[in-house]
Amino acid sequence: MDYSPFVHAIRDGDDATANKMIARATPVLIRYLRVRMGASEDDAKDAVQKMFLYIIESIKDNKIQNPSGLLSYMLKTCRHNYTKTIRRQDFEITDESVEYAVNEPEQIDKLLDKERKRILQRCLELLNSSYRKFITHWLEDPSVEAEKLAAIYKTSEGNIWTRKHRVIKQLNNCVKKKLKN
Amino acid sequence: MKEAEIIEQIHHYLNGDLDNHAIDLLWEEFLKNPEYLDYLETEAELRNILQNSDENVFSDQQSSSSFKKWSLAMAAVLVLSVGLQFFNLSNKSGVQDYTLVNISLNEMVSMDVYRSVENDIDQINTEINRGLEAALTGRDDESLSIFEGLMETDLNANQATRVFLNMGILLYNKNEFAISADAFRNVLVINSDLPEYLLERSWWFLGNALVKLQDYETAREALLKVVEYDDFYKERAEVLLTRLNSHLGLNG
Repeated sequence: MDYSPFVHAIRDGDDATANKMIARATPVLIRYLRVRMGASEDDAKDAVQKMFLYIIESIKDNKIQNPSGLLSYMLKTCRHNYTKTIRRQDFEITDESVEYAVNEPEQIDKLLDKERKRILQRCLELLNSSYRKFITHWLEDPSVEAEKLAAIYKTSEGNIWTRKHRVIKQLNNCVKKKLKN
Repeated sequence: MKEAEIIEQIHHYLNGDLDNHAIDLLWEEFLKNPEYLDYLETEAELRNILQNSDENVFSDQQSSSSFKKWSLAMAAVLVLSVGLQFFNLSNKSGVQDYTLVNISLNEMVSMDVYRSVENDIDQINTEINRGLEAALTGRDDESLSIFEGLMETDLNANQATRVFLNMGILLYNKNEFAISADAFRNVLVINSDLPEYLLERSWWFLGNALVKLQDYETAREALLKVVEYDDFYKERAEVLLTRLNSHLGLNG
């Protein structure tokens, strides 16, 4: 999604469009702070809300001239707001320690929902056996290079990535379908 | 960034191979298209399932492998199918032999606490999870008493279905099949917010409890429902149904 309509919506006073885009971006930004900074849900929400207030004012004041750099600016401002919140909560904290979470894959793991995971297991069982064998082979040791797998599966490296994409996408769709009541 | 590049970057991100700049660029892509964030989370979950063979999805205290459990479950289905073929030839076993001896406690369901917005809901959800934890750590009686206590509280439909399903499982394992069947029936009556796979699971357990109670006609109806879902328990339900049909003198 291109965010230049967001800038135009703010400038034109089109609240409906602006709110729609804010609603879409907010969960991603909260996730960003939780994963990258190890923020709590409440602190992340607070930082994102302040970011939007600040950005909206900046757009209205014509301080943001280049919509293409907006996403990077949003992420940076979220980080900045969160860092300020943490500093207020704990005066001993250093700049380095609030810059980024120590281990991001670990942070992602912490956010994973157990029920969703269980559904994913079911979906894995429903996957056709060649796909299941392939994805198990790779993700049990993801450090294996695509090139090496391509040699094992006698195909191109590009096909290996495509196959992986297809499997994850299929699992993703299966989870979504099963989560729908 | 093109889609192929995003997919590769997600892989490298989860491997811990990206620098801060590259990670932020990836998050910009997630902002443009949140579907990729779902993709990232699915892959992270999948890695977690496949790599942490000693982790149980409901409790850190259980040590059996989720993935190995899947293999064992499939192996059990296979053994059961082979057993059925043998039975067709020998015709000596009873239908009861094809029911679940015990229901795995991994079939119990938890509540998401962090998603709740109201304090009371959050407390009840926490209590449901406490009941689950008690069961998973071998304190079945305490678990049952927690769930019984919860029945006195003001549960919403989502919570009630989970309380009944968990109670049904615990009671089944105590050979209290009549009350267990009632609990599963309650799950199916309340129904409302239950995902389809939990409905399928409830029909399957109800079918087993009814066979144990020798209420074969009703059990057959429950098992036919399981087959209709065409999902996880279908194969096992068909095995039990075949046996049941044979016992009732029905064809097919």
